[in-house]
Amino acid sequence: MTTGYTLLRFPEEFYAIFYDPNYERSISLADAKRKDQVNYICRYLRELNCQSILVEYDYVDHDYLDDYANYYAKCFGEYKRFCRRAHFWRTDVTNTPFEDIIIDQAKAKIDILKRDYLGFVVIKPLPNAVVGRTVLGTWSDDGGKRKYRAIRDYTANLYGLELSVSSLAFQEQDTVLAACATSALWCAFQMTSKLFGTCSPTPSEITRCATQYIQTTRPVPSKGLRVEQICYAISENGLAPEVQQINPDTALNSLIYAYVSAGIPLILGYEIEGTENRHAVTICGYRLESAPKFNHESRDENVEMNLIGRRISELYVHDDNIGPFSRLICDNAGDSQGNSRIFTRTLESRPEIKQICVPELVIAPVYHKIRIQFNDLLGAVRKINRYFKALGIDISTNSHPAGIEWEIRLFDLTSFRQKVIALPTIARDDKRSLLFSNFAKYAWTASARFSNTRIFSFVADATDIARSFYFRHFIEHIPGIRENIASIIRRCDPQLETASGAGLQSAFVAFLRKEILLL
Amino acid sequence: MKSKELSFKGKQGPLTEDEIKQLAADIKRSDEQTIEDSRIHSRILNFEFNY
Repeated sequence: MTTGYTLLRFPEEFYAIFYDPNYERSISLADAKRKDQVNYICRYLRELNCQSILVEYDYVDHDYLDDYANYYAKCFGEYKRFCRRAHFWRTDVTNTPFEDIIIDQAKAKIDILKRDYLGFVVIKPLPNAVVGRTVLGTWSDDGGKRKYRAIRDYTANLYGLELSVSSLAFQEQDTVLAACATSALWCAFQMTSKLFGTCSPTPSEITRCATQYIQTTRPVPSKGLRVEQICYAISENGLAPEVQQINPDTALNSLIYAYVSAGIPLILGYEIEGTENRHAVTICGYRLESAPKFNHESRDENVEMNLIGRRISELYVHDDNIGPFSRLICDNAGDSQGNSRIFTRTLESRPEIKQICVPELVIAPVYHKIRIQFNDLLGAVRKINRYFKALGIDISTNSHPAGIEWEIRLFDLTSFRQKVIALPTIARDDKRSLLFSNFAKYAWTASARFSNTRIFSFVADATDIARSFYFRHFIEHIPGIRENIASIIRRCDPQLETASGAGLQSAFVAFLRKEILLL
Repeated sequence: MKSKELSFKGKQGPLTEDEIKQLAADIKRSDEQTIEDSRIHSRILNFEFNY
């Protein structure tokens, strides 16, 4: 058994990490250089200012070992059981007396190794699908506009040296035990295991769970998963699969924001235009512009609200055809109304071609107690927005003709309370009420904003039932805004007859009395 | 931004009957849209993600 490691320079020796001259089934150097995912990772590491690489030999990777035991070990031809793992740094460590540093625990040098660590890539001993578990730090945040929300901390133990990086693990499909949907689920489960305490199953386990009840063809070698199979895989992992079909009126970017801002990764299924291919990716971030990029999210102006999704211009997805945190650019595809309808992506090998991705569905793997869905909340907020607008509770200026922007998002209780503590705009009495009263494990918030300033928020119990009124609190972010709204209601709808007469629930009327009119 | 700039003016008096009717129609339309938003057509369950 070969043991040990090699130190290499980046980018000169990057492609060599994939090729094993002593292994007849190894990917060739030429094939590695032609591979989209490998080239993407190379470009990614350049962007992160990578300088050097350490390749660990004979690395035991949990996910590959399970795939090996379930398939590759049973092939007549011989496949290796061990992987290699390449670590990357933004400093040059190739001339570092690496072993001395570890043995002597040279603190200053260890601190540099920890500080400048960029992450790792596991290289699977397969002829083509070599990119195994890949944990790399995110791209720059570009002045705070790129939001990588579905990421977590990973620790790599390198000869006793503990290295950490915030990321979401990625790996490409091998089309044996995993197709694109399996890889997308695998990435998502990496995050949900941290959020909800569930398992992070291997690709082989995901394919087995997904195909145990419905099989339209043989499950292994795996060619793909149907929607129901994806749902089974999520359910078998102890989570609830929330499926949202995308139609022309879906506020898709706002829906994505609502879950991903809470760290919940989403599975996005789309059709690649001009082909009959459907692809699944994991959404882990988005780019939030300071001003709206699109006029509308919805085709139907009658139900249109000014939602935060209009400011999302890109999604960051784990796309196993490309690599981790790759871009899906929101595009209006020549829509004369300026609506955001499609996404585009570019493969490394064909940068001149924009592939058009037509979104068809989104699946959220959520904790079972999160019962109120984004659409339920959107519907309730839409009605509040209508009522407020009718009473003239809105702001519209030349620079912000659409007026108030609504931000709908999910919180777990700990994050919600931390946010309440951190927000200086919340009055002390409101903080006391929000922090020291019992509340559900998950909350939805709908915040009215204007020009990046929160004005007021509604807080809803996410564990309630859809056909109830689940708002529990009103928060004022601008001193006096509650009394401002209350005075308008007293003037325009003193007995709240307009609210009841227009068909708003009696529970909403009671909420207005208690939380805004303070009666 | 000063809080005064962010206060709402509001309407000056109660809504007219027509305005209330319009609001009721808007709210009904919102309810219908919420039902439509949540609808899942059986055809998508057969989509296979395989690329």
